[in-house]
Amino acid sequence: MSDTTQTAMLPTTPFIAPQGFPTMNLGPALPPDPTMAVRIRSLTKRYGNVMALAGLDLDIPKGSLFGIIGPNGAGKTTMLSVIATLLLPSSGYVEVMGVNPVSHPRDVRKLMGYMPDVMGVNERLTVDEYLRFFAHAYRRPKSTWDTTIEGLLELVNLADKREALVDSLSRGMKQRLSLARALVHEPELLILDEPASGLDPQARVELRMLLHELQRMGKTIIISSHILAELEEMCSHVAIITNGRLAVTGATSDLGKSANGTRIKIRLADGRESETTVTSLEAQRALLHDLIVVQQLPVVEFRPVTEGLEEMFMDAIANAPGPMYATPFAPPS
Amino acid sequence: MSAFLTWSTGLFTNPILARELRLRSRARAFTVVVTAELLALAILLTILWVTVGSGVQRDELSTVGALMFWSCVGVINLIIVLSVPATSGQSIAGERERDTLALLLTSALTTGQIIIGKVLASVVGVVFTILAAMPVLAICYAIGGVSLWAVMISVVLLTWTAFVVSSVSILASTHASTSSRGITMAYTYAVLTPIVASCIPLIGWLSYLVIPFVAIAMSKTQLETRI
Repeated sequence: MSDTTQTAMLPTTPFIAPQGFPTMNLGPALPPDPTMAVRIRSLTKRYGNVMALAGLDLDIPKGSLFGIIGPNGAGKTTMLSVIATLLLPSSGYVEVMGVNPVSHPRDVRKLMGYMPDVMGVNERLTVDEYLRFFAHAYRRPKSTWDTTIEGLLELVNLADKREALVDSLSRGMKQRLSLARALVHEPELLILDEPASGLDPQARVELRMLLHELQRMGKTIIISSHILAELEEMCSHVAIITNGRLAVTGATSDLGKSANGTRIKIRLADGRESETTVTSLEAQRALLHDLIVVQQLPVVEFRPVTEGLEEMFMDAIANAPGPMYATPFAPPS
Repeated sequence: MSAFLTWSTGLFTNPILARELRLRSRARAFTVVVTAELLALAILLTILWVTVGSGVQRDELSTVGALMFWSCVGVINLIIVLSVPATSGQSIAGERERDTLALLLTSALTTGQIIIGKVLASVVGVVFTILAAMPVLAICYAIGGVSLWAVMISVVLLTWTAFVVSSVSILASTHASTSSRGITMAYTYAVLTPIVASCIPLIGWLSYLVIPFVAIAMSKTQLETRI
């Protein structure tokens, strides 16, 4: 019933590449799964003694708007950088749209658009020149540039700024331009690292609408953010990462349902309350039938207890094991 | 032959080259460098003509012409060595500082194309400064004492110097995280290059023919390992 999984915290110690060990994919290729946009298995990334990613496993379904949540230093940006071919993992296996980003980075770059957490558009170019440059850099046929740029500027609502200098745009406009740039080669997968940071409420609403529109167009969108309420409302799936490991992942609609089933709150007319976990919808029906028909109890409330993303996030942080170091007992200096 | 044509066409349709030239043409630095160069050459020629050239016999004019020509080439060379590290030293470091390097690296461009685009943009910029000085060199040529071959060879040598300085400056830039550090490192590399080149056994100064290609290859490797 539920595809939410509450993962055990790192059941086994992942393989840790020694210092200076050549970076490579140590895991075997996974059997093909056309429903998944990204698949990550036992991914590690070390910086000196610190393990930024410590055996991460994650599946991101195609067509989903997937939110990545985690405290600062959890490894979100590192994970996104590995998917975006900017970083090589220390060990583990990654697959993006069925392609390995370590062995075939150029193929992955054609399939995905990346928008980093910092905008990086401060140039003395006009909006049109900026997008033309990236259309050229992505080797799009020159004959398509005009129509592509026109369509993208309409999509991100910047059509009237085509001849404006990039430097003259507001932060929200630059963010939308950055999104247009990430879409210039019509990628299937969009990776957005903290796209809403520093945006005012109106720009955030516009960005959210834009992301929903892109999801409707069939794009898979991975978005990392600190704004939990926004992610809960916007994303179809979420994953919580703490200390380089996956704490929780699943569909947003299934949040709060434990791995063992759904928690049900029962209240009787005399004020007595109880909570129990049931594994399926049939079990819920059977329980309700048992309470009302068999035991003839005056049930006034019988409802699933859902935990918000914020509560889950706080739980995940509270239960997270400490950071992992490549050399035992050697925290970073 | 067709492979060479495709390769050379690819060099000049490099998107980085097109963007860099557009940005350079809008920057004040290019106008400042060309103006400073022409002013320096005008002052030099005036001083040489007043001190050495005035009153000389017609048959001695060729000596004055040669002196003026090679002095101008020396000044242009000095301007190249002084100005190229300032612009090329911040090319990759500047992208890193502005957080635009990740955008280039996640595009369909290879690291080689990024580096070659940057080096070519720098060399083309220098070619423009050499072209701007051509009327001054033409005056020296007209005075005499310089063959057309000497003019052509000096233009080639100046362009090659720009190629050497640009490539080592961009190598320095790939190691730096900020523009200012990139520029400092580029000047250091530019100073060290002739010292190191002169120390290379057997080939010595001939290593200048190889240095740009080695620097480009090292820049490419550095860009692949350090984002």
